[in-house]
Amino acid sequence: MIATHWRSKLATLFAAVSISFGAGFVSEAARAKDVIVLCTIDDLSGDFSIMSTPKTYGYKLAVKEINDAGGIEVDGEKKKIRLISYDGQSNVARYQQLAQRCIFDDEADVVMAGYTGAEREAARQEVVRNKVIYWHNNQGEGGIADHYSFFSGVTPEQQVLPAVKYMIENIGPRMTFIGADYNFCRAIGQWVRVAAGLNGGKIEMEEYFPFGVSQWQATIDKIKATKPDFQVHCLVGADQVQFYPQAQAAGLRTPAWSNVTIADGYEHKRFAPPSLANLYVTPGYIEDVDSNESKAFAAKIRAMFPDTPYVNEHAAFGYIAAKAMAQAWTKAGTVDTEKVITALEGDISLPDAPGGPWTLRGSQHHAAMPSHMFKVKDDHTLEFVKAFDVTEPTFLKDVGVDLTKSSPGRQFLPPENAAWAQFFK
Amino acid sequence: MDIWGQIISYAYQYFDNAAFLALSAIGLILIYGMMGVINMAHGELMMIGAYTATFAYYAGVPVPIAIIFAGIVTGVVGVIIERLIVRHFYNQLLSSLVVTWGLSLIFTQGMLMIFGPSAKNMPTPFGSFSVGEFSFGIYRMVLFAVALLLIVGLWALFRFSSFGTKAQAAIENPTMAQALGIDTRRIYTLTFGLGSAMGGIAGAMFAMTAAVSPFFGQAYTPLAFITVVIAGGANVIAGLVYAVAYLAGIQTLTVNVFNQYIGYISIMAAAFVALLVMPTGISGFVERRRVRAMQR
Repeated sequence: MIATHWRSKLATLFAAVSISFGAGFVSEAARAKDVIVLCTIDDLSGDFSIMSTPKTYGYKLAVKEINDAGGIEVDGEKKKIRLISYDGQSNVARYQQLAQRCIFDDEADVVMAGYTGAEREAARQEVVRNKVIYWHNNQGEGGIADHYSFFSGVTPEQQVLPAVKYMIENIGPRMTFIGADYNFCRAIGQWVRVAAGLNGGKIEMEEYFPFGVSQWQATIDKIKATKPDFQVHCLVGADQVQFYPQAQAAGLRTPAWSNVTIADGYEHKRFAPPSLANLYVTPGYIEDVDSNESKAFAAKIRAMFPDTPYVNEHAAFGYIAAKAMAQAWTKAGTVDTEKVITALEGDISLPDAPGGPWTLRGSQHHAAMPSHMFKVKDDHTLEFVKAFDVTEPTFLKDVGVDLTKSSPGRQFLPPENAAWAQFFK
Repeated sequence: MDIWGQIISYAYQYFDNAAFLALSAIGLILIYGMMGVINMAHGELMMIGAYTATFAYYAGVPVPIAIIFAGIVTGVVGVIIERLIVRHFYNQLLSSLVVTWGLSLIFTQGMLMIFGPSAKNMPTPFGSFSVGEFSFGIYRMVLFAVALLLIVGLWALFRFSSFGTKAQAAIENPTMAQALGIDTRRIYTLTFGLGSAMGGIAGAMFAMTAAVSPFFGQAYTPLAFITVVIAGGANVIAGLVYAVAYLAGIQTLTVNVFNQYIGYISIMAAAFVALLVMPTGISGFVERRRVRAMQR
């Protein structure tokens, strides 16, 4: 008994020693590598594969374009990007393991990983702990202030604030909020509170639901009894989106705004009309955005992946992040992490990004970009409502963070902004 | 507040919840009760039913026929699974669990590779009706009617047909049944096919209100398993009815008194309590009481 106990302890010790040796070799090896390694982890199977699969199309397209153009000149020689793509299987536990594999086995120069906030944190903690650059290429709740972490997607400042303002001004001030019970939608709930407070709106009902909920009549009754001017939704996952056909069948036709629906999961293509009629959405990009850049991007994705059901936000943000890294490596002339971060913090810009001009703000590690409001019609075609112009990400600045100077290494949420404290009383 | 509307709403929710549980669980409990096999691939059979009905519908087949077609296709898939695999694991609870779980992984990943991550679902038919300020989708009540139809049909099949009598004999005492000339293997195959077909029909019905994807079945399996465990295997049909009535009642009550979150947790709590009191499930409990009453 004792012997085996000691043996296992010795084994752990030995493993730890060999890992630390391994890590030492990695940095040596990384300098000598003849390729630049981009390691990505996305849900290619499981519940979230619907949303995440197009993101890998974005990566593959960007890497192909960069390599076809001859690669990137670092340390005096042209190097190609090697894209390593793992399947996270919609399983949080996989993200930590695969992040380690990216860092130690594949010697990744950058890791891009995760769909949900839980997946993001599982991978991100591992990546930044090992001082490797990390990207999350989704819309997100924003507020993460960390030296190694970068975000290509839209934040609530570019979605929740302008969209809820528009809804209050054009439809009415009274709203209901329903959302999935986890960190992302809880944070979105706080942002909706801020948007309501800033624009004279009122939240009449706010409720959060576990992921498995799929019977919605009680909630539909509650919303109808509240008689709001509009609804706000943050419904996530295959069970929760069953709200839409049920609400439509029960005659709940109150306009609704959602940040996740359509932008991620192209529900308007997956549900038979008119399940989603009267829903407003504000993606940073979807293929329905009517511009030359948007159409060209969708055409390139389709040419490479003819079976793509819909070119969603993720495809664009994956593409943008890989392109931004290419610029940063070129600018730094090296893959040395600190020098690349300095390059990234020098306001990397993609003026012809699929959704419109995109600029990474160095002090914020989030990007300035436009967003686009659409309304779902009865036949599930999308009617363009309004473009929200390029919006700067200023939330971290407002809570006193400048990542070019120092990194708090944590997430900030809306109640920490003193100017908004009154909305959370 | 509109009293009648509210009362109708509670009743509506009760039947909606009951339909969800009954449709998800009916094929599963048939197979478990008759053959002692926990079919972990049941959700995937529902998924196959959903895809079959959806493809048939968009190929121009009328909805009722698409649903029946889904039942037939899924039934045939069930028969093939039984012949090739499940047959070797009867009354080995753990082995059958692992084998059918493996099957479920193969089905979901296979579907993902062949048809991609999602397909367009069928439109929800029928529209809505209103009582005062409240309005309700008619289709959810159609789900309940179909659940009821399947339960009654199953009962009639086992009560009145010669297949039902033989099946009961094969389950009660396989050796004796064989000695009397009943082909028990064939009975098992047909029962497994029947259970699968029920799953396929349920999947087709849900395809009109939920998104269709390779992971479609996962939305239904957890609650289906809870229902089956509570029902127990002693009397399949009565057990299912008791379990559904009990769970739907708890769910409707807690969702309305508290909220959806508590409602969801309450089902697990209710299942826990039921199993503490009745370890062999409701049907086992009722059966024991009856035997004891007869002995008196």
